[in-house]
Amino acid sequence: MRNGIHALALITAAGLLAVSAVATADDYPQGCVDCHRLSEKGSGLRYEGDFRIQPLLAQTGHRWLKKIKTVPNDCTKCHSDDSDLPLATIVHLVHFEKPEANVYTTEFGGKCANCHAMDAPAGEALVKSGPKNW
Amino acid sequence: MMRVARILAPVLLTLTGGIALADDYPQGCVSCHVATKQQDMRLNVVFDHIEHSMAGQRTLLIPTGCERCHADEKGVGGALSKLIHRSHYTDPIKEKFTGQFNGDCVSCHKMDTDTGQAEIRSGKRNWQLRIAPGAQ
Repeated sequence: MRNGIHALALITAAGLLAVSAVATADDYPQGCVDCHRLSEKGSGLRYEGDFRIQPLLAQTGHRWLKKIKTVPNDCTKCHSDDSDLPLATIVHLVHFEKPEANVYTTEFGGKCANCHAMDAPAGEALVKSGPKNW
Repeated sequence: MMRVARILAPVLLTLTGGIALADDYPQGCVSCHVATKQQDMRLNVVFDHIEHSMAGQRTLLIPTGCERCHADEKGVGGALSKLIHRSHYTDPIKEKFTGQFNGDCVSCHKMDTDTGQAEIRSGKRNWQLRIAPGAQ
């Protein structure tokens, strides 16, 4: 499992290259899909390529995400907190493992607020989500 | 899959400068809630201000020890996470926390980069227990 997570970490880090390194938390209201997107040639973004989650995961051997509609909410159908591979653990590992070399940390500041939002009245930290972009 | 990782790894590592991550709040609450010449913001002072029970004064490890009354599921005093999030991200404290002190998630939380678990920073209380007049 750890080898798979390492591979996923490296590939996901590559996905972050599609986004400008200078950004604020407000630039990612939909979380994952605001960063993991298709960066076409001539788009003006710093890096070009298809960094959407489905193509990235396909490279790791992950099953086809045909039933996913909302990311990452629908991912918890398999990756629930009490599963063998909780989504929080996987995502935190790929984004924060080896922080001195992880592109999410070195290029994008490793900000929690890129993926999480605070519901201040309720006092709860939420996970941002958005419709799939593939 | 591993072939792709082996190809990507040197590319990614050469792109990174290797940044050392500073930790300004290693002990979480008590790293920020301190006494200065201008103001005493230690938590015992905060407790007095909000008329918190004296049990708070006796807490040795902050905020771990607070869970004896403020556990998430069965805390009689309400879940600590909700209380702290609400107070730090609602005005007027929000203006100080996120504005004046540039506070954010990592002021109180840290990531265990080996396990992928988000943890709460903690530290020993930074105030002395008060002795009531006439007590031994």
